[in-house]
Amino acid sequence: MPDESAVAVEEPDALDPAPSTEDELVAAGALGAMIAPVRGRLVVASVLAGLSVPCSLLGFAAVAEIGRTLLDGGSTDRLWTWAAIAAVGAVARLVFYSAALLISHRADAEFRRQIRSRITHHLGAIPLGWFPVGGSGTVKQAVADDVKRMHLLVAHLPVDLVPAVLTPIVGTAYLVIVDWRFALLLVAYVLVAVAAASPAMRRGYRENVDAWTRSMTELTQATVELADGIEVHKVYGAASGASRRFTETVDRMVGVALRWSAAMGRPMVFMTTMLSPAVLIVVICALGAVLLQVGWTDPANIVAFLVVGIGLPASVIHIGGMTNLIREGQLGATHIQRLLDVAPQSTPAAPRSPEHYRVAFEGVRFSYDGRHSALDGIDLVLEPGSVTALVGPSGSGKTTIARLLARFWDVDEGSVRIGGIDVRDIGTRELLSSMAIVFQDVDLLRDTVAENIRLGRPHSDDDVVTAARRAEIHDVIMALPNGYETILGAGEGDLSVGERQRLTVARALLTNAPLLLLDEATAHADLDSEAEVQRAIGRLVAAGATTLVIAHRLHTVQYADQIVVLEGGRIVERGRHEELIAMDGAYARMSRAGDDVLTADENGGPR
Amino acid sequence: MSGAAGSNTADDTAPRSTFALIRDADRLLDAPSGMPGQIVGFAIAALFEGVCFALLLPVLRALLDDDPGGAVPWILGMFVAAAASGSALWITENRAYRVGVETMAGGMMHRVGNHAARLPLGWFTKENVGHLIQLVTESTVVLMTTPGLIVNRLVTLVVTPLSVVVVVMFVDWRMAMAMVAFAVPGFFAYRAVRRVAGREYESRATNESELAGRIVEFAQAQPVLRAAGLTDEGWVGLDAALTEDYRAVVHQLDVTSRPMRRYMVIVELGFVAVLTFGVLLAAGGRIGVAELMVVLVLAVRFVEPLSTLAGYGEGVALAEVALRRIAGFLDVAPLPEPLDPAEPGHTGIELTDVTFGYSGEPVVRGVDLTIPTGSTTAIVGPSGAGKTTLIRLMARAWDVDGGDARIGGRDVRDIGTEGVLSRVTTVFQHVYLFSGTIRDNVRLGRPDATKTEIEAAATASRLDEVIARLPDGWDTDVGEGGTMLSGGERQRVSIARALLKDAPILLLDEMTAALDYENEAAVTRAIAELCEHRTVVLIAHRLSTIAGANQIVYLDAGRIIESGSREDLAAAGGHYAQLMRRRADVEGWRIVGRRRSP
Repeated sequence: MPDESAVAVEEPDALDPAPSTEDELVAAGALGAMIAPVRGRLVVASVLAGLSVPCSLLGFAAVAEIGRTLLDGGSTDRLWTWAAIAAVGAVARLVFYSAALLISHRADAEFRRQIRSRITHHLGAIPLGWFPVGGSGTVKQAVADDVKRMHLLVAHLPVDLVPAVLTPIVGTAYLVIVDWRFALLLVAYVLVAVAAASPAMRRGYRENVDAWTRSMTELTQATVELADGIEVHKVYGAASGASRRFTETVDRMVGVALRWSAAMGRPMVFMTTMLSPAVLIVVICALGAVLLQVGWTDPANIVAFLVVGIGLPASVIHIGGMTNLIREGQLGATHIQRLLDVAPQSTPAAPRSPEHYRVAFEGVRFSYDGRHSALDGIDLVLEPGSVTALVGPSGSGKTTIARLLARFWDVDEGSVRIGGIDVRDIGTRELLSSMAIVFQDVDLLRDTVAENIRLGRPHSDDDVVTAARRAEIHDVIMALPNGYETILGAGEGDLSVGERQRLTVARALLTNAPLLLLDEATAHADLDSEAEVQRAIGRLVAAGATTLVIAHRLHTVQYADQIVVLEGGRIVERGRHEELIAMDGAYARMSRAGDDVLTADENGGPR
Repeated sequence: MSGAAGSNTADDTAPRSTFALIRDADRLLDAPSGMPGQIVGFAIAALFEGVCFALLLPVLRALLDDDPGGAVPWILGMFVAAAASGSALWITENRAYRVGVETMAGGMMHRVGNHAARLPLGWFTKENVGHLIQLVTESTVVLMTTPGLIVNRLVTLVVTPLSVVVVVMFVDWRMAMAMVAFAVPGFFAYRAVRRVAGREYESRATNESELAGRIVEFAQAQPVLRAAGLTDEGWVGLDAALTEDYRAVVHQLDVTSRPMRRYMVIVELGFVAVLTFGVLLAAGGRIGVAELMVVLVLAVRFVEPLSTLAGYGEGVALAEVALRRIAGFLDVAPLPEPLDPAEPGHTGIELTDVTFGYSGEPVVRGVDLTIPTGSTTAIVGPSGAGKTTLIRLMARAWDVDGGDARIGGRDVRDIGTEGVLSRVTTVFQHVYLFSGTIRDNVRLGRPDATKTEIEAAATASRLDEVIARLPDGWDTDVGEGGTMLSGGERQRVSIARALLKDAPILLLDEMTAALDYENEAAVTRAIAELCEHRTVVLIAHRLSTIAGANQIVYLDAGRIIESGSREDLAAAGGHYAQLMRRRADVEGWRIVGRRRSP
């Protein structure tokens, strides 16, 4: 009963949370443009799959013609001729369809390769700042979910969609040729059954889709609360059994789903029942009997309608499921297009090289979203070889300043200069290789430990080991299964957070870069190796680079050459520790808030 | 769902019998799933469909004889049979929604939710919580469509072919035999398609996520790659991986399309063979025209549906995976609770030779520890030493494997989880707040607390400063899980809540993450207040916290290495003393400028 199988194809999609309205704004043409490289193959595969449709019809027509021949008392030769035609049709269909499958598989694989290649090439050109603020999530969605959405469409379009559309058309055409009046009546019956159901189905979808999406979101939240909040629940004497919120949410979800299935399912089932083989056989026999009675048809035609007509609606219903595929494909294409539309960062036409490494921020203004300013007129000089600490509450702009120096973003106004040269005029590679960045999140490559320290630069193994020793990570590396040749991130050897951070420090020590961007919290992310990370960072700072430190614990930077106090994207105070304390302003206040804790610590511990 | 399927071995994806699926559902629901009713429903539909098919013979005899009048009674009979079949289908399919949504999905969700509430606290690790969420929001939802899918699968695979063969058997047994000769290998070929498709589905999902992971990694490592000038080379490396994946995909697709081709060949050639055989019989006059036509019309029924099977094979496979995962969850045993809970005499804690492990290797080994009522005990040691496990055993997050844990002289297993937790407050690093206002979350500590009591708790926990700062004050919505508040603010709410509950025992895991200056100072003071007049066990990291304890326990690899007062341990010069020196170094660390000397 092919009719019902279509229900199965439809249902999982019908019950999926519907795409949000934003996603519905499908970029026109995005899908077509993205498929372009494999369009030729898809066309060939579609044509071949299309050719297989009339071939399979040959077999069905043969049945009717054999019946006709027998009824007319035709020759045995004629019978065999039709049997041969059926055989040829079957073989041809096999050949065409297999070829279509083969070609579409290659097109599918090629499509996936090309689209991912395009994405990765683009990733190499967009501003670095795009990645930490949700960019990685977008990339993940694009390369996993969205490519899958599109690939399903590419894979199914020629071999499933084309036959699904062509089968009813070719079948109907055949029946029209056999007996146009009979054909018209049968098509009318099918259309009436479809038309009777589809407005109700569409209405059912429209009226319930939002409620469904909402109830699924609620269910997720209630489940998270049930699981994450279980301890609070039990500790604070909640009742036994699942929380009331969870139970209610489940019941609400069931109610919504039932309403939806009643609204959409009933008309659907009505349609599939009216078009089921048992019902269609009766319809065709009855129509045949009437037409025979009035002399508009002859007995052999009835056989043709029984053979071809019964299967006709199945593929029509099948198409319903296919439209979901197209919608999903468009959605995927839109997401990917959005990623490809992220403007790449400008590269200087004639890159210049700084002669020295005095860093100057001049009147820098910057906003992430174009509305709320993140930095509002920053003037700041980092003298060569000095240590500057940025302090201030979270959101005051500390990290933004550090990122602008590395050109994660470009300033909106003003300039960031290294050795008098605007960072926008320095080549990407030169700019980034002039600075060591030691932040809390560590990017390790799936490569050997040595290569992760060396990063493609021509340093000798000895240099790598020396850097690793100074970063206090050498012993850890030697304890890995293959020492410096251990591949990281491949299950061979795992490093703790503190160990990864020391690896980053080793990288920086090896580079001996003139600029150092440092997040002080890096040292505190892993209690067990706090002391080692601190020593490693200490050596890095002592190496003499111009250093910019994002500080979270005030006391750690009290001996910096310059302390810059930020509030709301502006510099409110700057100077040395003693000067700032004497000023008795924001810094002094913050320092006092932390002092009690610190004093207690120092008095408490034996030295 | 691919992630879920990823853990299955190839054998798991082998098609299982529909009846096994139904049995599983009944067992998991601990109630009839209503699925047998579905089978009865479609069996009736199929029976009448068969009658319809059978009546085609007399109808065609009359029609082919150009005698429409003679066909009328038979057509009427067919109409009745079709109406019966259609009604049965109508009822069964509509019922399928109800069974799917209400019984299968809703029922399973309730089962899972109630079971989760009975599980020991120790079960709720980050990983398990992730599984649980996925179980409710994905696996159970998958089951909504299962009854409908199963009906379809049975109808297409079993019922239609069967009724066709039975009818043909009565029409002409030789033709029936010819059909069976191709149907049997066809059935097995279909199973091969299903098996291979299942395997392919899985391995491709794995490859895909592997490749996606590489690209995400490439995206995340951009600063490093660009600094090293590796982006060009990185593309080359990644392009190579993409090309390799392309070859693997093509190969895989070709391999997996083989059984599909085999199946198509059997079906197509089978049809031609039956047709040829029919012509042979007809040419020899050994079969009537009407008989042959009925057989061939039904043979087409045989061929067609199988080509549309693929669509929901996957759906059934997903249902199987879902049921297996739900079964795995429901098999997790809750802790046994006493019928007559014991009343502890005081609030001191005693551990005697306590051993505990999550699976296999013990995490806590032979721990003996006495914590007198009203004292403070600090547990120190390297990470992975078993500190968290140890204090959570005191709250009966799990039951010990060996030895016993007692509160007030009574075994925690005899006191029962509820009894233990009514005497204990936990303040751990990860603070969970319920969606709602700050007031709701604090009031949770003691629902009948007066306004004055709540405000006193807020003052003591320094939550009052936060409330004063927020525009909505006490009525501020904390968001799902409390995410609208900062880490320090959440801590203060949890301390206020704990103060209000005023339980005699406090289990505390000191924050390790750096808070901003003001929060850090406030939280430290609030915790000091919370610790007063209670039996306190805490995992301590800071020198100041450790210094305030009456008893210090140094734990390593699940054993107590040293314990005693601060003075004794410092004098002993062992692990503790070493740890303290290290902490002092860490806390005294300074980043030193070039032109400065400390």
